[in-house]
Formats: sequence, structure tokens, C-alpha cells
Amino acid sequence: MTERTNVSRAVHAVGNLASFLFLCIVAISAFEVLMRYAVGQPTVWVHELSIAFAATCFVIGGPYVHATRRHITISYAYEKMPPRVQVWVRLLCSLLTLTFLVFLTYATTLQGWQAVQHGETTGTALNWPIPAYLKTLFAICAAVMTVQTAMHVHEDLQRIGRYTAPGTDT
Amino acid sequence: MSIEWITVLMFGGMIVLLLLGLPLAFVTGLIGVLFTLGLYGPAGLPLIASRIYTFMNEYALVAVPMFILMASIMERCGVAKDLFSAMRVWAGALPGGLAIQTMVVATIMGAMTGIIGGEIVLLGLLALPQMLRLGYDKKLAIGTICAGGSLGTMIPPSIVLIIYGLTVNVSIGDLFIANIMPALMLSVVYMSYIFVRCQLNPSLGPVAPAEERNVSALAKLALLKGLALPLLVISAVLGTIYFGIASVTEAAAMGVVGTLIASAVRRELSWPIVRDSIRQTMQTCGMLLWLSFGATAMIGVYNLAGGPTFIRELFAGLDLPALGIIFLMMAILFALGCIMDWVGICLLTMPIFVPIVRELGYDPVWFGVLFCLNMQLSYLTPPFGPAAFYLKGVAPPEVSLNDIFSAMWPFLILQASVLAVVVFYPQVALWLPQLGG
Repeated sequence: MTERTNVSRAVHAVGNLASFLFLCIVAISAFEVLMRYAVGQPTVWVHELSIAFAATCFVIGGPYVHATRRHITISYAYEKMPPRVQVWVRLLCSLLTLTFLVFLTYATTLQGWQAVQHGETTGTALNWPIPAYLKTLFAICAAVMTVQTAMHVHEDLQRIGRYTAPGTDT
Repeated sequence: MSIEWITVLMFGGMIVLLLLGLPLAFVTGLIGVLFTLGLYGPAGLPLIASRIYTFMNEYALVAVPMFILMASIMERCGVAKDLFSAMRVWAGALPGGLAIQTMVVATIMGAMTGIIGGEIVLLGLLALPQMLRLGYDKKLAIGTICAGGSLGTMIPPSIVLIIYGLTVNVSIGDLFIANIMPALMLSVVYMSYIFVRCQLNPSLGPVAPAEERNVSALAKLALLKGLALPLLVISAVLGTIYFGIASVTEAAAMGVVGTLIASAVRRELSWPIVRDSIRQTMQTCGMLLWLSFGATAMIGVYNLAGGPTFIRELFAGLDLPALGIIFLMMAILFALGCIMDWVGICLLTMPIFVPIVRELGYDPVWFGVLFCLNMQLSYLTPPFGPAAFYLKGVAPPEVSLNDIFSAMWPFLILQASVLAVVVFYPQVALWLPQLGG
């Protein structure tokens, strides 16, 4: 339904790549269980790294799903509306989504910028800069979703244009 | 602005936006953002970001993609099909036997999956055509599949329980164990219902022709062979959680390892299956987590504005007995279940409800079971019963959405009865976790 744009292609490529992290979590968790029970030397890094991997996927999952406009929607009332109203409601929804995402991008960018400036780390034995990384990624994903939504707004406007164009209006 | 108005505007606005067709994740997120701006100005916005960040940093949350991945792989292998054909020959000459077998299959599959959707699709593809071919009552067949297929989130492992446990800070292991008895009770009640109705009126569930039933005992046993490994995986995963050998997350990851091994032994493991499974996991996680992000933002502002205290006083002012309040909460959850997804409901209501439940002297684990049972109802109720939509996607074209929803009623009544039993007899849920100490 949604046209395949370069943005959505890129988002899908990144998301497909990131989905390998699920297999990485499986592998390192198995390693941890093995080390703990077979060797008796539990690791210190599996726990933190699995959270970082999972959170990476969670955050990227947002634009990944948004690329096909498949975030869970209750379409019951929408489907009952006449098509003439639907096109406008769709535009309104895209604009509301855009409002949310603009503010979210602002909030997450602020958060990410502070984390990077302070070189925020996990504060554990390993002290990896995972928070700085994740907060930055979160801001990037929010920004990408804002761009995607802006493109959805454009799409919706075109749809309205098509709908009211002479010859197609029946 | 007074808290009364904030409450009315927030939840009223939420319902209006939901009905417009704005994705749930953005509805709650938008309300969260706008109220933060209105009440605290732009300086409040980073609070939302940091709340969401804290939420996604929970180790137990890592179990969610692991269980989803496990289910995705299982769904893509022939396990369900084998399970179904193995069970079918055991149905024998019992009226309604095929529907009862379908329920058995649904229950076993429920222990392999923790989400709703895949299971209903599989049963819709495998069991529905078979039942319709034998001339089963359409409604009985549909209800069986939707109710049975929804058991996935009731029978542990369950994603619903993981999110509930994280939200209210109770042991996910305890929640899993506490849910076993009520889940089995649901399944047995469904089967008894099918049995009784088909005994009273055998034409509702005709028996398969004799030539299909004539399978030697040896052949029947042989059919079960392919199931040994998957069943072993399930018991290993659940066992390690129950006996505290591994954390829920580790057990889930080992479940994926087990599933991969099982499908390799069955000679079904292939690169496309793994690739599609991890991609589907990405998709499902994206939906689930962003839903949670939005709800986290909204409830965060509501908390700051003093919402929980307001609701607590509201409940206290009603002058209801403790059980009356529990029933009122169940009614609210049920009403929300008609218009919202369970993730949103859990994150929005539980931070408010569960402290009240604790104050009343009830066990939050028990309340988690009630929540889970309540969400079973929400899968089947119109207009947004997800079970119906999943089944519609794969059902033969002559089965309409109206057929599906009208088939749900008997099962909804059964679910409500089980819910009432657990409300009045908390021990049904709590004796198992207490047994383990």
C-alpha cells in the first residue's frame, strides 16, 4: 500500500541486519549458562550485553514497523467512515503522529546529547558506554520516524489530491 | 488544572484518538507529550525520554524477544501439523472429538508460545477446514479455535505475564507458576463444554468416517514420535524457570537453542526459516515495545500529576467492600479490553491498580492471574477482538467476521466463569507457587 521509498528500504535493511542480534543474545546466553554450570565461572558481560542488544532491536523496531505503517491500530471506526472522510482522517492521524515524534525527537536528542557529553557508562564492573550509545540510537530512531511520518503526510496529501482530482471523483 | 479534569481529558482524548485510527503507540505517546508540555513545559520532556530508557533497560524484558523467536521458529516448522495429525487419529468415535483434540493441541501449543496470533492462524489453517469438512457446527468450530488459540498468553511462558511482572515488580517465575492451574482449568472447561454440547446434540460434531479412524495402535504411536523433541524443549524451558536453575531470560534463550536443535533433528531447519523468524521477531518487538514506550510516557505524566492518589481516593470514596473494588477493576479492565491492546492496558492501569490491590491485602501475583484471564476475554470481544481478525485472515471466505464474533459468546461466558472462580478462590492460582515456597 505504501510506496517503497529509499528511506523505508534503508530502514528495512538496517532492521534486517539488527535482527541478527537476537541470535547473538541466544548465543551469549547459552555461553553464560555453559560457563556457570559446566565451568563454574559465570561471566560479567553477558547480562549487560544482552540488554544492549535487545534494546537496540527494540528501538530500531519502531522505524522498522513504521516503514510499512503497521503499528497496532484500532481501525474499526475508521473502516466505517466514507472514503471521502477517510482520506482526511488519515492525514490528521499522520499530523498528530508527526507532532508526537517531533517532541520525542527533541526529548531523546537532549537525553542523548547529555549522555554523550558526559560519556555516560553503565557504572558496573565493565563500565561500558552502553547508555551513551543507546540514548544516541534512540534519538536517531526517533528522528528517522519523524522523517518517515513527514513522508506519510506527503503521501496522504497526494491521496487527497488524487481523490479530489477531476475524473477520479465518482 | 485539577486532577479530575486531567483524568477526564487524558482518557477521553485517548478514546477519541484511538477511534480515529491513530496507532495506539502514538495515541498514548502524544497524550503523554502534550500533557507534559501543558503541565510542566518543555523542561519536562526529557523526563519522558528517561522513563522510556529505564523501561527498556530491564533484563527480564530480553525474555520477550526470546519467547517470540522460539514461537516463530516453532510455527514455521511442521510441529503443529504433526501434533494435529497425531491427535486426530486419537479422537476415535467420540462426537465432537475433533474439536476436543483441537483444544488439546491448542493447550500444548500454548506452552510453546507466549503471544496471541500465530497459534490461531495455525489452528485456523489446520483444524478449521477439517472440522468444517466433517460437518461440524460452524460456530462451535470457530469458537474452539479462537478460544483455544488465545490460550497462548495464558499458559506460561506468557509475554503478558512478563510485562505485568515488570510493571508491578513481582516475580515473573511466580506469575508463570500461578497461571498454570487457571490456564488448565480454562482448557478443561472448554473441552467439557464441547463434550456436553456434542453429547446432547451429536450433529454439532459428527464423527469421522470409519475408514479414517481405522489406524493401528502402532501407527498411532509412530505419529507421536516427531513430537517427543519439541515437548522435551517445552518441559526443559519451563522446568528451569520453575526450579530456579536459570533466569526467565536465560531459560527463554535456551528455549530458542532447544527449538533450533529440535527442528534440526526433524530436518526442517533452514536458513530461510531462521531469517524469517528473526525478522518476524523484530516486527513484533517493534510493535510491542513502542506501544509500551507510549504508554510509559502517558502514565508517567499521570503519575506526576497525582493520578494514582486521585484514583485511590475515588475507589475509597465508593465505600465498596474489598471484593467489590476488585470486581470494579475487572469491569474497567474488561471495558478497556474492548478498545485497547493488553500492553497498553497493563502499563496504564497496573501502576495505579496494583498498589490499591496491595493495600486491600491481596496478593499481586493473584491479581496478575486475574489480569491475564481478563485479557483472554478481551481477545474475543468485538469490536477489536484480535482473535477474530487473526482467524478471519485464514478462514475460508464463507466464514464472515459476524460468524466469528457470534461464535464467541459461549466461550466468553466460560472465561468469565473461570475468572469469577479465581476471584472467589485465590488458592486456585496461589497454591502452586506457595508449594515451591
